[in-house]
Amino acid sequence: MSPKKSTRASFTLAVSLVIVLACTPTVYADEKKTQEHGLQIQGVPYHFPPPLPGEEIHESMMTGLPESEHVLRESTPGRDSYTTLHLYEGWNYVSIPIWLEDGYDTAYSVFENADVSSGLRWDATQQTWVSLLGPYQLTPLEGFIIRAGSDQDVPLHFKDEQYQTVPTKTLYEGWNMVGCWGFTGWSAHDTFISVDDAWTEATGYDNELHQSETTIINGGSGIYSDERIVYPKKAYWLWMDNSATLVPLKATKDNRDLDYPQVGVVWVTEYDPPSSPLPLSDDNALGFYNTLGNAGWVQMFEHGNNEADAGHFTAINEDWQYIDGVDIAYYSGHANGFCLCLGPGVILNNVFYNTCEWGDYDLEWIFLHGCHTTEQSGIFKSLPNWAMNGVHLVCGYTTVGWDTDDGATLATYLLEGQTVKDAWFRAIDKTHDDNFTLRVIGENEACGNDHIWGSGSVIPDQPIDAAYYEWIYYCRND
Amino acid sequence: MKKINIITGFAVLILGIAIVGVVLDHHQQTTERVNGSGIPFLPKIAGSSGSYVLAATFPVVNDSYPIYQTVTPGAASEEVRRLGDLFGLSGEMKSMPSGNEVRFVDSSKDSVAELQYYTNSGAYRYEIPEKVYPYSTDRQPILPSDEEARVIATKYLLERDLLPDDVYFSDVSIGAQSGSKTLPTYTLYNLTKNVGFVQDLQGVRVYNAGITVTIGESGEVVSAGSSLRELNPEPVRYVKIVAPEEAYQRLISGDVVMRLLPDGYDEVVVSDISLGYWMEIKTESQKYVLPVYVFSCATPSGAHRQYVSAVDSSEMQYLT
Repeated sequence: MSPKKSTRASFTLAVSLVIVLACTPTVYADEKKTQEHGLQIQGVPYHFPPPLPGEEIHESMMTGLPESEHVLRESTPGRDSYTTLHLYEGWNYVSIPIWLEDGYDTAYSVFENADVSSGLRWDATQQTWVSLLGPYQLTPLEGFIIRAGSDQDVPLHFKDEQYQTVPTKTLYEGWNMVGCWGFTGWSAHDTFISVDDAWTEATGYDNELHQSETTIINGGSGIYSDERIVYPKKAYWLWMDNSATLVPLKATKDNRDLDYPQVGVVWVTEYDPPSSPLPLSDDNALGFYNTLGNAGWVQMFEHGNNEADAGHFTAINEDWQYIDGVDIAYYSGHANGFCLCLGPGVILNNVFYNTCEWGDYDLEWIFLHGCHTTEQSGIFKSLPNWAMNGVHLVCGYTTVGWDTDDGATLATYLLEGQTVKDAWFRAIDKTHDDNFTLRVIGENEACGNDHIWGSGSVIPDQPIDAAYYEWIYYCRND
Repeated sequence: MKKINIITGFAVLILGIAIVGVVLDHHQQTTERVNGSGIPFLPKIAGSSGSYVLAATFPVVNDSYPIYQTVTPGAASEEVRRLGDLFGLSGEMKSMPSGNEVRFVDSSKDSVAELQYYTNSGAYRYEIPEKVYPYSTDRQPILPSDEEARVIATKYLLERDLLPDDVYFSDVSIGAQSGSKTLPTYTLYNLTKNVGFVQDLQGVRVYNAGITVTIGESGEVVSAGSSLRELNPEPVRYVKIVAPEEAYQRLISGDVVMRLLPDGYDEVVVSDISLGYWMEIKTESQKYVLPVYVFSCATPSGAHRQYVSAVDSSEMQYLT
């Protein structure tokens, strides 16, 4: 069918096929086969993604070959423009990148004028294909497949930015079909970090060549590396060992902090001389990360040593999807009054506070477990960038500090319902003597009453200005 | 106009050269004086946290020093009850997830009071959190003078029999502050004062532990605690210690008891070296209290102390 043919005709066909598929749901019955073939890649049991309806499992071209002879079929972005979804003739694995505008967000409304013949989505709870019915709402993070009669661009109508709240999606044990949030491709490692403990394999589909792409293995290397990019508007098979909630790494002021509070940590243990190594930095940061994670916080990233990247903190780089993409962040490593030193001894990897703009996206609180981090409170409101740009509180040291393991204690105090500033003072005071002084800087006085999400009151985001409030605590010997 | 600028520029340049000259001369005199006192002249040495400059004499020490064994703290529940009674608390005890801290919270008062007890060390702290930790205010609370604070704290401890004979008053310092910066105004209020008490073991100061009493508005005691471990009075044995010079080398190589978090010091000036005893962080267990060298360090960002084990490595096999 040509795309030039009448839209009414193609729509009629689409609807009729959808109805047919709705009446005869295709159940994926070959799951056993994927489980029992015994193939492993880099030590991870390999699962064959479910085949298209009516097809047999396509055994991978790698099956039976030694890993050294496996070849890469890289994931590639689609040919979409910002406001279109490109379909190739045949089956397409696609997804919606951000929320669609009301009235333009159903399968019917999106493909109303398209040359498509059928659509399916994957019911992960039943591990089966089900028909994509006309009224079904197409939401971000969910992948689906569309059979197109020809190459074409399908227009998409998005909600305005202020209504783009961060979506979440429950993923179930077994296969799930997912999409990516936003318009930029990021590594699978980062994209699926919120389900890092559960996913093992991700497989994309090349809509143009109509073949599966090389599987990405969680923690894999070489052609299976999870540093490979996954792209928005495509759909990926994601194998989950157990259920978990997928939360996009990139966040916005989403008004869903209470439902999905997010935590991220950065730590450095290894430094080049003359800076000394800090052997407890990882325990410190991970203690914080895991204590909150065990209490239901969504663990978004824990980057250590070589993964600790200054660009994840700074405004002109990627803070919006890392430090400023979570509600609470923790840094453990060397620092001074002007910057965090992410090492190993490279000044380019230093985070100068006046290159940061924390809080204009999601960050409410940040703990800087490093010497002198809040010694000069004014620097957080100094040009060219205000590091305090919406963040409620910045907690740090006025003086030097010790390489101690305080993160778990701090998180415990926060979860108990202590205020953010008191929890910081109490946790650090526990391991430091009277040689040390701490300082918490707030956007204003009212921020001092903040608790973390779910453990007490949180003040709404405050107007940002050059003024600030600070609380200073002198550690004690007792 | 240009002429005036040129003359002014020359004047500034000459003045600058003169100042540099004076500073260099003073530095040279200082180092010569130091050398003249028998201190080895160790110019900047690249260390774990920057370059060290020695500006202190090495202390005269004995070859060996006594070490003390700690007494295992008593049953937590009994200790917490005993201390709770001393501080007038009633309520429920609660163990922290880490398992080495028991907390006793009394919510019956207008201001919640709390006792923390550390099972690994026997350390405790009573406090009224909302008055101890810095809070927001727009006025200066009425605080006692330093001398008044010392008297209040000493009396408070003596009344509860919480001031051992070998513990003595050390100093009074600010405990907490809060304030705001609204250009061009910067207001900072002192909220509490800490009264510190320290312990000597046969004349040698104990570090990283002590007794502190915090005084709040109108002289109210808002916190009191001790992290001093109970010790067997008789030394376990004497251990050979390293010379201060060797300890200094340990400092430079980063072999310190507690690692600091700073980075980028161009210069760390060691202004004093002394011998002390080290008590572990109160959350940790500790079998023996051992001697350490204490290095008082000055940097452009302020002063801090570094601790280096003083025990000769040949002795360590007896201390496990």
